[in-house]
Amino acid sequence: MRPSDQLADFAREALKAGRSRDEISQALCEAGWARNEVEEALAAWVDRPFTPPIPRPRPQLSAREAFFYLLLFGALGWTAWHVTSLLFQAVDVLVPKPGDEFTGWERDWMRFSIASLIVTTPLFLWLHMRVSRDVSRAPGKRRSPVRKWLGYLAMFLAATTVLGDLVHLIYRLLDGDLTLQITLKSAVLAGVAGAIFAYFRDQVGRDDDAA
Amino acid sequence: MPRELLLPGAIAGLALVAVAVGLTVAGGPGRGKVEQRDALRIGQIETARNHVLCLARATGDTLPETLTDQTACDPGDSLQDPFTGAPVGYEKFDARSFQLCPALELGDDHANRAWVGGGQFDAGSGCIRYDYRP
Repeated sequence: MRPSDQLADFAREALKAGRSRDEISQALCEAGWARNEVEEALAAWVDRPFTPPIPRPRPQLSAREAFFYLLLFGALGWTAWHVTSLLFQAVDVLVPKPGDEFTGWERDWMRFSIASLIVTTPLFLWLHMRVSRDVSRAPGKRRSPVRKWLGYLAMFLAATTVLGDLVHLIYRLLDGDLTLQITLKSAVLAGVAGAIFAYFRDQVGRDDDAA
Repeated sequence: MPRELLLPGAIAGLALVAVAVGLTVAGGPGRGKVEQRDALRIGQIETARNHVLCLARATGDTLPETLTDQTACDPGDSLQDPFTGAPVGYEKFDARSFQLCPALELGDDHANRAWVGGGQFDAGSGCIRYDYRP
């Protein structure tokens, strides 16, 4: 039996035996369990006098949910990548550096990005609506660990992108190499990363509110 | 718009703008077809160049004045535009250089440069200049 199972089992048995939460907490802390571990173990049961103790709903991971969230995450990531790529190319064409040429390969890459967006953007919207509908029908799905983990992972990636972008912008400024092209590209990157961050912040924030 | 769709809608809007900008800059399917035709024309120019070199070797390393005499070497279809049938332009500059001018629809496109093998592409005229080294 794992230590966490031992703790959960003990908390359940103690509550069942009619011990108060303070008593259980004190006994566990004296035995060397950390305060947060004890609180987490007790939080798994509803705080009201009822025997046997009533369990709180726990996050569950289903393969179906993981499939939809991973697809949503992938579709949004692919969309963001190609929106950025397309707008970067457009900036290169509209504000070229001296000696820059718009090559056939760049034109082909833009077409690949356009094709990608035509597929992934509607897919992202459809998946978002589907997931939102599922969550509104069964609010327990807000506790999905894959939803939470992917949400925070996306926010982490978006935040580090914005920070890296900012560092790059300041570096170019200090280096005396801050051109209109670089400024526009930084703005594009910040805009896309900011939108992704805001999207997941909104999703995860509602989950946290609901938890 | 419901709040639920506000941010996804903004992301989709951004993607829509990117697609519109991309189509404006890179061109749509019509432009793509023209590029494919030009790529084929430039690919065919390699055969036309080999024909010129064949004629030169057949006449004692002298570049021909025109490409009308085809008795020594067979150019196949390489001297005609594969889509319009228009003749490929030929001009001899001196004993060691000449140019071939396919009827490119995007003659001024820098992108065509990537398809040119041994010659120098002139984006202004759409011609390809070659040096002859016997």
